[in-house]
Amino acid sequence: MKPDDAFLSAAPHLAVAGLSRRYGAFTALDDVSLAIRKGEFVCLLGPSGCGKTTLLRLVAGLDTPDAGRVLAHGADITRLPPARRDYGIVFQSYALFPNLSVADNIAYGLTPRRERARHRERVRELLELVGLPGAEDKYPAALSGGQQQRVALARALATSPGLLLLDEPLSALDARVRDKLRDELKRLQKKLGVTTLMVTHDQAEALAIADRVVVMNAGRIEQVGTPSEIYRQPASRFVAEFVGEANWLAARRVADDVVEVGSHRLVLGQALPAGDAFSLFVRPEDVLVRERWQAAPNTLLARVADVAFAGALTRLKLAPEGMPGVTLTAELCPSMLSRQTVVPGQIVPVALPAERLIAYPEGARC
Amino acid sequence: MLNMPARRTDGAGPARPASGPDLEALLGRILPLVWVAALLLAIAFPLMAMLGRAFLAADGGFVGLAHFAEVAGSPGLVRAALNSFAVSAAATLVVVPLAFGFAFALTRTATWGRGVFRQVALLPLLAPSLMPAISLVYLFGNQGLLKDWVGGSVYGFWGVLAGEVFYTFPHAFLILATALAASDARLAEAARVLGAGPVRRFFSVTLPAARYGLVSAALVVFTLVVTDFGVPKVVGGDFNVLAVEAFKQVIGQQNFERGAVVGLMLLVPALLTFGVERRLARRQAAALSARAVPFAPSRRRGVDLAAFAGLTLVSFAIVSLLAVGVAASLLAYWPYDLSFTLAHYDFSGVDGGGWSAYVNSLTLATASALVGAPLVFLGAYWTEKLKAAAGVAPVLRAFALLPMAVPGLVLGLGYVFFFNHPANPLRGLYGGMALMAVCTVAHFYTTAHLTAATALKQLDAEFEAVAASLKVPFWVTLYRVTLPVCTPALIDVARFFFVSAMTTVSALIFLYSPDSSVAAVALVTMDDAGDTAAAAAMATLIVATSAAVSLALSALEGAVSRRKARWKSR
Ligand SMILES: Nc1ncnc2c1ncn2[C@@H]1O[C@H](COP(=O)(O)OP(=O)(O)O)[C@@H](O)[C@H]1O
Ligand SMILES: [Mg+2]
Repeated sequence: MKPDDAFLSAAPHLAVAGLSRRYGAFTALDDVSLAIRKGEFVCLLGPSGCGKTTLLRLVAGLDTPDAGRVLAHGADITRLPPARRDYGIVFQSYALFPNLSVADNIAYGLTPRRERARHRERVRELLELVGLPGAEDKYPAALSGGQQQRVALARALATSPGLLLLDEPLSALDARVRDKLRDELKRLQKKLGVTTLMVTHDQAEALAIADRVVVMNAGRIEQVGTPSEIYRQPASRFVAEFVGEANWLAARRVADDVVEVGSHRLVLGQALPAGDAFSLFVRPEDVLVRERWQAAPNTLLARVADVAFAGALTRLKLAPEGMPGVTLTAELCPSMLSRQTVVPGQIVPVALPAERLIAYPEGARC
Repeated sequence: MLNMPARRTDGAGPARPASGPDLEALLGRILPLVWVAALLLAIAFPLMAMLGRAFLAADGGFVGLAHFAEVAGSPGLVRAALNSFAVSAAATLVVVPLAFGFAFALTRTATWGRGVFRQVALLPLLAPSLMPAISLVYLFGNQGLLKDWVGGSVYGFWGVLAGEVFYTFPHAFLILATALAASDARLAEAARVLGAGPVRRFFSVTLPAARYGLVSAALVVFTLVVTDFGVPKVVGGDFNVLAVEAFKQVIGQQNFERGAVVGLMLLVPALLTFGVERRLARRQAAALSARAVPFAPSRRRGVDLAAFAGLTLVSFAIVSLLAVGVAASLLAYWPYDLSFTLAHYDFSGVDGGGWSAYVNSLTLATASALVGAPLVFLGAYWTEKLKAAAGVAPVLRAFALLPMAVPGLVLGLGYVFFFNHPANPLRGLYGGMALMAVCTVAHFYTTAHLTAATALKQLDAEFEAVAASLKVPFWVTLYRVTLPVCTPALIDVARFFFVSAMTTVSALIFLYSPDSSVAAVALVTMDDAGDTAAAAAMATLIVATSAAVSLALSALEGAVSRRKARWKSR
């Protein structure tokens, strides 16, 4: 960005407004609006087939929308061909040119082509950046999946684009490599400050890497927020179910902010939405096991049905009294367990903090 | 995407042109249309000209079905139609089981020399369809070596049948070998575990899995025989068939209307075959799951020996039909004087154009390969890869499939009616080599297109998208990536065009002039004039040239593949 862009910097770096894309009678993308700030790392998260790639391709100009606009700094670029835009892209397949060496792949978009020496220097720099120094003369087929991914990233960054688009860049890798590359990608993005839009169906990946997460479902945006907003305050039942783990309790309205679950009354931190029947949502780590019974709102007794060691955490299965058929999952950290031992069959007091309970109208399932 | 438009609003000089005509999009829209226009000219218009001839009087007035009625009322033509049907049905009944057995032995047993047998099965593709007919004459004709083996004369139904079996065998074999190779080994495994015996396994698993292939092969063989001209021309004798009749009507009697009607009659089975085949191909592709496990036969001595015996028998028949022709061309006077001579290769005393026809054939084949292969490859590239062409691609794709539905004989007739029409400004091309090359490329366009399209589909679908994001125009990526990666397929297409141009007669017989006669057409002339030994020599030249060029291009393909392997090893 040049300084003389300043008066435009009020407009978002990239925005889409009312974007729709239909394939015959099927709506792949339905009235999607989104704004991305400069330097931000945004993840499009959603189940397979929800329209993430479709949105990315519209932003890239590889496809044209049926309605809506794509804006760069407020300027309409909806109908501009890809070559007139300014982005680098990495696909899930990497799409490395098999007959070109790593160096030629990375230098593919560098112009003019006769400035070989300058390109060689740039390629060396990029390979260093992505952690593959010295790989210039190899061919893609001789590289591992993780190495190919790095080359594809280097190629996308070679022309210093203003925007980086990534379509499931880590999905084809095995778990260990994936976690390592995820962290490297995040570090690289912060270092270069390049605005990044990444597609993934892996919620853990999205939460770990993104500044902001866009949760999509069936062609629509369900929620846009920081990873902690998405995790703590899911805006819809779909988001709550898709992101992280949760307990779901069938509840009935009693008062404005009170519900009944089984024979227990639970107070909520905010007013209930409209309706009489709800699904009550609480994260396993928000189910608190107390040392001693103290009569207090949202506290009940539960029998420990199972204790499972899960590495850093211990997972309990709890059968609350007065809620027949309900099993609550709780996650305890080691420091809690050091104060108190928990064994199956034991009766323990359990608290469900009001501000951690969220009620979703029943029947409004995704 | 962000810097460019922003800079433009500021009035700062854009680093790259942000407005003005988009050359890529423009080319993407225009180039496929050029291909559509070319195919219109080379296929659709000639066909329409033929249709017109069938329904119009010589002076241009519409006569409805009058020409058809005339043909139906002429006993000669009705008999020819019946003969065509009979010999096509018979050939189908012989070739399909034979080719199925051959393909089955090659794909489902571990017998010896499978690679060699496969090549032998494909040998007839290198020869014009007249070659087996000539060999048959030498074997069973009036002075044939084995004349006493056959009760009557080789001229007629049985001779035509034998020649057609040889000619269509590799076509059926290729389809059936593909179908059998593709069927899932896990089904056969499961059936065996369930206790099904070999006979039951064959009828409950193998045969159903290959049923699309069987139907396809039957249709293809039927159509090839109905529209073939070479074999009945040489050994038909009094046994008249439609394909020869069309030739006689147009070239012999200049009766264009009747020729057009007969052409239409030949087009009908071809169109039907084409429609059914395309549907089957789609279903077969759908039935083939990506996880199917290819069948890996194990050594069973008894079965393998039986397979070996069967394969040897069929291969012997194929090789003999070629070898007799070759031998006859090198012997002084078969079967009386068996001394070696090259005299039959001195074509100076015979009609048909002799060596200049052979040189014309070489020129035609080279031109078809060198022009056809890039043309077809680019056409396939427009339909499969060029995003800007997405709107025109379905039209171009349909036009690329059309030639498969048009037999060469019908195409040749269409060319006569269209390019030889007094009102056609392109009339000057008629009788020249250029038009013959155009006709050859058009005639074999579909198979070549499908080969190229298959190769292109195997490339990563995002190459073009990546290149576009890097602001590299499509022609650079085509040149730097797509072409090098697809070179083997391109060579394959070139080889196909070369061999097809060397061996085909059916369309060219309507297009040549005395100066532009080609080897395969010269065969017909020589045979007509009774110069059978010269015809055998010319056929041998064609086979030798096809084989040599095939081998050379295979070697080239091998070298290219080895270079590709280098991309993988470093
Ligand atoms: N070219 C196309 N033609 C028809 N349907 C398509 C096409 N591209 C995508 N779709 C459909 O649109 C939906 C969204 O696809 P996509 O954006 O690729 O999903 P994802 O979120 O998994 O990336 C899918 O149901 C897919 O089947
Ligand atoms: Mg996707």
